[in-house]
Amino acid sequence: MSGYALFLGCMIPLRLPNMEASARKVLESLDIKLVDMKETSCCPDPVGIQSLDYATWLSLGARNISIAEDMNLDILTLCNGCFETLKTVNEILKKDGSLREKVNAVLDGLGRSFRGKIEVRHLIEVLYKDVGVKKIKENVVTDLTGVNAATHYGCHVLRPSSILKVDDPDEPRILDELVEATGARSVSYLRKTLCCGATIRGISKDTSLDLTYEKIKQAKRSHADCFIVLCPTCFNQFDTGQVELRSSGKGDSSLPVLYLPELIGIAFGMNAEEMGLGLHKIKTKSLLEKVFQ
Amino acid sequence: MQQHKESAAAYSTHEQGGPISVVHKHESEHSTRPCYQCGSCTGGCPIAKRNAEFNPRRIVQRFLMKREDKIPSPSIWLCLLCHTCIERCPQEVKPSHVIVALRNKATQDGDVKDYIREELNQICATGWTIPSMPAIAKRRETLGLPPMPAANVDEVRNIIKAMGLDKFLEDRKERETEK
Repeated sequence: MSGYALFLGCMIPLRLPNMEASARKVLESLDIKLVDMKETSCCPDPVGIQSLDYATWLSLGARNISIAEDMNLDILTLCNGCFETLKTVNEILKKDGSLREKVNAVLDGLGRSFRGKIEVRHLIEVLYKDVGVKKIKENVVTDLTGVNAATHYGCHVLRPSSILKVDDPDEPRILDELVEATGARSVSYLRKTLCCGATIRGISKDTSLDLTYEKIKQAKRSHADCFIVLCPTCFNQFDTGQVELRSSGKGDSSLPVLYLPELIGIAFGMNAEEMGLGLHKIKTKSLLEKVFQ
Repeated sequence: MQQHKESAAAYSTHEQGGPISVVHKHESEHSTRPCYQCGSCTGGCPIAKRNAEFNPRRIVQRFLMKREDKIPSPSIWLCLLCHTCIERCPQEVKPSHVIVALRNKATQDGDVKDYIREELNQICATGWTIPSMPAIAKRRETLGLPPMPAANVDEVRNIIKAMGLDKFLEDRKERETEK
């Protein structure tokens, strides 16, 4: 096996292409080979579709995994939601023969099958385990000393930890170590592992934004200049959420939100405009000025 | 015995007559490591803290221990699925997974949330939960990204149909006709 089968998902390529651009550029600069997957679909969403029908969720997920199995490559996801779904489906179907048989009965009609022969990895695992903090440090050309970052892992890269096995669910460290490899400081803040609130936007927007507000308040108390995230849903919740909170009269914060590869890209000397930082709703100008002053 | 059978159905994704009938394993797991109502799930729950209507400990008590049949909508839909309760539970009960099973049951009974119906409709239309927009396609081009690859919509629709979920798509057609 060489490289990874790149699973793009929905939200990154169809709404937040800046996240895809920075991830591709950073991974390429670190010699991680990506092969684009063809004919995939939504992962599917671990909240909406799993809540609708667990069996459908398993079957659509298994279909996506079967495409990477045909490529003989492990899957790399850029999104926590895709990761939670594909990793969980992969682990469940590898272990549970009777479920696998049932899912394969569905896939058989499409000429496909789940064989359980690949792994599903999140971008952060590849950056931390394959590349490593040392190599990231070696590639830094713009030291980000002076930047205070609030790291937000997001629920679906950490929990349930018994299945995802990425980091300690209560005191995670790998994102902080990667952030600090750029010279930036990872600030300690309360409610670090609290959910961003996005998953109940369609049910109770007030409660959803209340969680976002709590996170922003705590990050600001710790003098953070920005949030660093690993997921497009969390990105959108903080980026669009701050605009919504301002317009509803709750809070006046404009804390820039960066996807981890965007931060690493800046440290690697990549052009912010070419990575699409201009597409953020919360402007990153003040942060970039601090870096390049 | 009949009562037991019915309550088991509450924890299953049951496609009546469909190719898959997935019975969640909560009940068999629960018999070996039963919940003792310590409340760690509710104590760690960010929603329970904000809304007293939502209480994972009560949900486990009512549906896993007392085997009630009536699903408490709307409160089950307030769960974030952040899975903090799973990490907190000393007995590995997995309250958020019980809630997923209850949501599946509620859906089978006709309580389909609008945002989920929209998601399903969108997946059937393009394979993705998010519609494509010319402005984003242009941004992709500007950023030097390849065009968004097409999904295999036929295969996706086949699966959704095989699972019996196409019945949730008809409502949209009806709503559009009404408009």
